Amino acid sequence: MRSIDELIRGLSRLPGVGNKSASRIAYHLIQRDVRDNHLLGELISTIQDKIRLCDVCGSFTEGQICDVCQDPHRDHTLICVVEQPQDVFTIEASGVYNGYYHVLHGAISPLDGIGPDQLTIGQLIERITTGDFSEVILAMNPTEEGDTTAMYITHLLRSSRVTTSRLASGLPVGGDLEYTDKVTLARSLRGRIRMSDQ
Amino acid sequence: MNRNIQCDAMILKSMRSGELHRRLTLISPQLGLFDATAYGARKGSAKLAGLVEPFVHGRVYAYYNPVKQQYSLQDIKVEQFRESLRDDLVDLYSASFFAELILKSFGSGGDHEAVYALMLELLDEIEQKRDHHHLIIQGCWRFLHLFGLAPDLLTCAACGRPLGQAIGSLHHGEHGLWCESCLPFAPAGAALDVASRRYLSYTAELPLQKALRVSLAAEAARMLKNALLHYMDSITDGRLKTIKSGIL
Repeated sequence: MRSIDELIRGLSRLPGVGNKSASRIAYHLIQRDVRDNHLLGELISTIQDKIRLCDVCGSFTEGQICDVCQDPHRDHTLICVVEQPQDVFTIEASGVYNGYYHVLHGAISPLDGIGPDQLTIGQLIERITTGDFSEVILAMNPTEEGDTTAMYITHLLRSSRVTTSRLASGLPVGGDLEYTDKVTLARSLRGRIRMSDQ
Repeated sequence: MNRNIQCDAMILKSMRSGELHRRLTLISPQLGLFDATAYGARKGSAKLAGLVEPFVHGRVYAYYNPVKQQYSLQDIKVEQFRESLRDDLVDLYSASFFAELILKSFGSGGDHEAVYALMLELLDEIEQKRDHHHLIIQGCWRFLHLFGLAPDLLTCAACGRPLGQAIGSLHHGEHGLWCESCLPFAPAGAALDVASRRYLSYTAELPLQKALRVSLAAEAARMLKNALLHYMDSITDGRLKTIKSGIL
């Protein structure tokens, strides 16, 4: 049936949804209450009009400035730099960070033609130089692109008064040393913590 | 047909594929350029996580699916991870430029063993923090020889007369240098003076490590590098994103 096939094709374009899951969702949508489908359809069709980027940090928000940037109770000496807006929500979910954020909207990737000028690094430097921040936490992915971007920002900030730190990378909690790759193990050893100081 | 393949290879490009996988483009002396998927490589706990990054090279174990005509990466015994390339933007862009040259030239015309060996040598020298102008010049010049597009440095490509002491203008369209008297008929090209041409012809015969020690005045090196970058860009129809960044 053409309409079901089109729906399955459309759903399978979503991240994490393969053909099988798409057909399961499609058949579920056919059988459930039509009002729920209308509501879901409306939510999907209006989401891009409702959500925009925060004028300050570049994260997702419904207003001009996001809730995090508006919160005066946050630690105004900390700023955490992330690649994508969804990373803000991941770090927030951890519940251990109480500072502000800055979203770069990507990472330096020479082969994809993404250089420092295509990211919001300029705005970040301006925020740091005009703000009260004393520490910049670089929370980019531990990939070649993420590492290079972190190194580049560190280089730009080397003459400023702020300290820069990078998220630790190493053994996952509950993991097994035997199955850890040698690059991760090497990083864990380099970033080891002195237990006697704690 | 053996579906389980083992070969030496280097990852030239690694991009996200779906939610959890990475799509890789590799160069191997035996197989040339080929694409492979590292399934699950974006999961933190995956065996391949952290290993499928650009410029990693080593022994690659892959499975070839003859029906889908696709390779999937099973394992990689890493020889060098090249983590130091991440510390410097120019180093990363230099390495990426050479990788992009191989990708956009579809493996430089077939001599995969030579391309692979040259790439390894260039990455070693980048990690040794050699002057990046000299590195780009030598890399471009050696790739041009592999492509079969290295211009004749002694004679004009348009009229065939010896260039002598004159400045030659490098043009992709004519695969060579144009003399001053032919220049009015030539499209805009990059100028190469006699010192630059002597430097190129002298260092072409030397091993890369020795060639990088041959001195060239800083300004001349910068101009020659720019001329060769312009030539490389025109050879690949202006598709080199690493050049467009202006970082090189």
